[in-house]
Amino acid sequence: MHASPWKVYGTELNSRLFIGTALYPSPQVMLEAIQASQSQVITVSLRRQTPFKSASGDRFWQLIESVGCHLLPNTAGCYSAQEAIKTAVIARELFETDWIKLEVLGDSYNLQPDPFALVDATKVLIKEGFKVFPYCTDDLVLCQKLADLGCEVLMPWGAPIGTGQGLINPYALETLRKRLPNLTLLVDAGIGKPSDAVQAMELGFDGILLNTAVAEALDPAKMADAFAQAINAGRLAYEAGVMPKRDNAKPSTPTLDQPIWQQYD
Amino acid sequence: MSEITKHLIDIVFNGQALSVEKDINIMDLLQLFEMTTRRFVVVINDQIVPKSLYMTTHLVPGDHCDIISPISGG
Repeated sequence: MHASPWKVYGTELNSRLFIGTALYPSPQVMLEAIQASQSQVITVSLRRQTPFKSASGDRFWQLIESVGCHLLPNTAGCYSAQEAIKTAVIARELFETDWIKLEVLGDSYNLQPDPFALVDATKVLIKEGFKVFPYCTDDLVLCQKLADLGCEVLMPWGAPIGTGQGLINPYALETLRKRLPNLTLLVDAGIGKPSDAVQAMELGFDGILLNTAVAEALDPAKMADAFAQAINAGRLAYEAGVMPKRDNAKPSTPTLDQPIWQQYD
Repeated sequence: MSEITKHLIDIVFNGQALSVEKDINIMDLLQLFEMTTRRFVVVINDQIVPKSLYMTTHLVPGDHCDIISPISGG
């Protein structure tokens, strides 16, 4: 069974996994992993390239064109709103999409998003007609501000990029889900294993964006398949309705008319 | 100044100093590097140059010209 389709800025998707295109051992392995993930959205980036090396950029472009996914360019490596805005404008021209994964970093140690610069850049980019996917922290007030600015999608971190720590603060993520029920929420960054993704999906997150957990697995294609199944299972569980936790045990087999009656103290 | 250098200008190309022919346009620059058929965006002094203007946009001394290409990203 497949979880229900969903919409991202008006685009209907079946897969709830967005997958990155970096860090794979080879382009072929990347291709196999993307196919195994069944993702319909892949993240990409842009850089200045020296002319003699630019053929590799072109080969990469041919590969990602061949998979036929929606492209989500990022502003990775930007540390100010101004840099991120400039990068987004170039990305729109280069990839011919108004989707932008907005990353504005505030700290180089844990690559934590700068909430103030993120709000500044979001304000400008939404006015410029971009569909902004902000990579943000799990701070509720920041997320509310980004939603007020017009973001239909938010992508709070589970943990810092590339750490594989899983959901460091499930309480904060659960609070976001409860307080922003109409927003599309993806956990972006920090996912290490499929059970982390299941946890996020069971909390009611709409999707997962990940890269390192698949690209650095011993068998990226197999791991991509594992994530695809986990994310589908987590979403199905959320849609099915998870039972509430109880403090006391409750027998699952009926005790009424039990043929051998045992009295326990 | 030699006859050759008289016909050259200095620009910054992808972050590195480069001497190119005076009055060179973007299309000639791209042909110089055999890049005309590839996927990229040309940015001069932080402004995107539309493809339709490659022939008529000439570089002047001190221009910062960047060729931006797709790369992998997370």
